[in-house]
Amino acid sequence: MWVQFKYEENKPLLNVQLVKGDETFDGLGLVDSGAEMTIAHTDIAKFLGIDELSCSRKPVGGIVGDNANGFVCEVDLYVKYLPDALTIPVLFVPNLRVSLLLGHNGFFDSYHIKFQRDSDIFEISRSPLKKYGKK
Amino acid sequence: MKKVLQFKHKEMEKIIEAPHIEKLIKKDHENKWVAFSDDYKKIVDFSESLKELQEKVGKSKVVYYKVFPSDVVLAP
Repeated sequence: MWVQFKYEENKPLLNVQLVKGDETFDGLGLVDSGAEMTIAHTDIAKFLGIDELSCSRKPVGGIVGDNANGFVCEVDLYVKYLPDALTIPVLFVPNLRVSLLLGHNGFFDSYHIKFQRDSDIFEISRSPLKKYGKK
Repeated sequence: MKKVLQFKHKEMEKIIEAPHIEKLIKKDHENKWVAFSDDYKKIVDFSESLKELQEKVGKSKVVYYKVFPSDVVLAP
C-alpha cells in the first residue's frame, strides 16, 4: 500500500520515533535522498541515553563545510502511518543544523519512495525485500 | 501505462497532510530546538539544546524539531 504525504512547504518531512531501550524521541525527520545513511544530531543520542564510547566512530562530510566525526549506533525507527518498525544504523553528528535526515542505508533500503514535487506529495510503501526489520 | 497508473491509485488509501509547522516558526526559533504540541497547533517551548528543552517540557507529549534558518538554502 502506498501512503501519500504532503510536503511541508518544500520539505518532505515525516513524523518519526527513535527508540533505544526505554527511551523514545519523537521528532520530524527530513527524507533525504542525498544522504548515504540516516544522520541525527548528537543531542538525540544524549536524549536516548546512548553511550558514545560504545559506538563505532565514523567521519562525515557534506557538500559544504568541514568534515566532522560522528558515531554510529543501531536504533529502532518507527515512522507514523507506515508499517513495521526498523532497527537501523544511525550516524550521530555534533553541530548538525537539522535534527534528523532519513537516508539510504536503512531507511531507503526499507521503503519505496517517490518524490512528486510538482504534485506537492511524496509517496512511500514498504519494500517487499524487508532487508531491515526490528531486532 | 494508463491502466497501471489507474491501478496504483486504487491501491492508495491515505493522504497525510503536512504538519504546517512553517506558519508557527518565527525568527527567534531559528537554529534552536523547538517542541511542537503533538497536534502541531502550537510551539510549547524552544531552547538552544535538546536536553534543556526536554527539561522545560517535562512529560508533555511533544514533537521535537531543530529549525533551519529560513533565509538559507538547505543543502544536506
